[in-house]
Amino acid sequence: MLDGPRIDLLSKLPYEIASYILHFIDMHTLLTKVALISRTWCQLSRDNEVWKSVYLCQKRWKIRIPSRQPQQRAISAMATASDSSTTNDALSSDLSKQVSTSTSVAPNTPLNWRMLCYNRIQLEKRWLSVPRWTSLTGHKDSVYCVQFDHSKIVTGSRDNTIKFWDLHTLKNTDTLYGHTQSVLCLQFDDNLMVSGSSDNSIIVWDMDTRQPIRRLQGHAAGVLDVCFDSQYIVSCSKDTTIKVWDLKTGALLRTMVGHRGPVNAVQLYKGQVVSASGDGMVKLWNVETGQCVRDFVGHLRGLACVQFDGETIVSGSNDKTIRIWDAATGRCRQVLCGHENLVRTLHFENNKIVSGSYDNTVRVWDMTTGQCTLEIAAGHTSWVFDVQFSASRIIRFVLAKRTTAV
Amino acid sequence: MPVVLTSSDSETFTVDKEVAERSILIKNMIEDVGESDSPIPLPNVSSAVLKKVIEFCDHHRNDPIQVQDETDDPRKRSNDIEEWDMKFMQVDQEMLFEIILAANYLDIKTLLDVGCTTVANLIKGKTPEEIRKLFNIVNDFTPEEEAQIKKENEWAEDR
Repeated sequence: MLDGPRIDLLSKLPYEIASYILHFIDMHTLLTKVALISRTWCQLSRDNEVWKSVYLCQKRWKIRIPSRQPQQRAISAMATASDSSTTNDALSSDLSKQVSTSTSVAPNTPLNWRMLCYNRIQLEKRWLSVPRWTSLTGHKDSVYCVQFDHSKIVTGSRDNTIKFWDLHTLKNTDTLYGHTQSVLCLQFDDNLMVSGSSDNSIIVWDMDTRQPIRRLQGHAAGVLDVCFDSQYIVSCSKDTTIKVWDLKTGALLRTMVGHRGPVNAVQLYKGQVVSASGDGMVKLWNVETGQCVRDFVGHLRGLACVQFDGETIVSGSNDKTIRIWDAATGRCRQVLCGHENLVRTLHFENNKIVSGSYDNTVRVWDMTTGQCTLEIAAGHTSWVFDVQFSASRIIRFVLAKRTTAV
Repeated sequence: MPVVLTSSDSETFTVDKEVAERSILIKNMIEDVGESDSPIPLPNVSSAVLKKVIEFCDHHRNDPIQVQDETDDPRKRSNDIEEWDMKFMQVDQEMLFEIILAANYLDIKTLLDVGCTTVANLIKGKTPEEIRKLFNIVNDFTPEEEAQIKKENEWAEDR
């Protein structure tokens, strides 16, 4: 900069240009420097477009903005909006309220980007510290599986029941009876829930009435994991098979045979099934043909859990490691070491893995570096059976002894 | 065919069409009125500034044209300025101010970005007091207001 008269560039320039300059400034400088210069600068530092740019510059912060919907699809527009605030986790509770309530009137209400950034920062800070936790009390025996959404938590237990809990009050709202032995696995969406049990059966439940619709029989041993999409239910069992069922009719479509041990975990993604077995193998199957497409070899002992997003497979094993695989090539991308016992459960999303182990800890991992970024041991005196997280500040995991920690 | 531009102080500049058309304003003007040898008046730009702008456009005459775009992805934005541009921006604040205004008026996105990035880079890494001194700004906050803003913005700390 050459010497010359000094002028308050940001105040003298038209507002649009002055705020555009701030698009080139990082969040920290905006808040701790720019905002403190003068009233005019402070005003500029709060510009919504500037904060939109700050937010979008953060590659790790995703957001799905409800797009304009035609009038006749007003109802689905509302559904999209509330989805985006929960499943996509861009918004914390007060903001999601703001978004979901406002969407019924105007789907394009501008977002407060500065508030979104603030919430994201708070969430990221919490991911670096051991969270507060709460117990859910009510099951008479161990909890084996859990799933939650924006309003409820659903747990399956060794006491043969499935319980619904209000996410906000943490009160037990419903108890479902149907299985005659332990409930080992469950998955639900807005309409249906599918659960699998040691009684060898699968029950399809209506989420509105919370009544069983049908019972699927066919496995010769306990049903260890289930999943479904709009067409199929896929289940896996201690009997070493994977079965594909028609979601609408409940008919058994095919049985996929190939594993030499109990199949502990299964996941369905757009016509592809990934399974993890006690035989140490991850297998990728075509759900239409029932053919095994690829084997993923590398784990030294049996597998307990697997997740698949179409590109990446993450598996957890009795060899104490987690492996990240490239689904298309079968290449093992990372081996995550740290757990001191069997890795029982995992969930990955947004470059983050949360895993639960029989070493009684829950760990958070960075998928790119393979580093463990957080270890949560407090609160657990027992095996961790299931875990699920959403970026909005919540990790949930399940303990063996009648409690779910939140 | 060269294009003739007239500055606010009535100086004329003859430049190649491809140089002049780095400015979307001029490009559109030429498209609208057709090519002619009558000068294009630029009443908002002085000769000193226009000279600088032409120097920039001449240097970047072969760059791919960047258009201001709704979908402009901030993730691709970078604060790195080419060495030539950095030297080009070694001007006093008044000229910097005028160049940014001219780039905005003439609709030359690359020059606007280089100008804005230059200002942003001047701000970065400085304390508020240093920024005020640099731009000759009077702190018009009361101590209470200043404390309040600091408190509100605390969440950006320790990063």
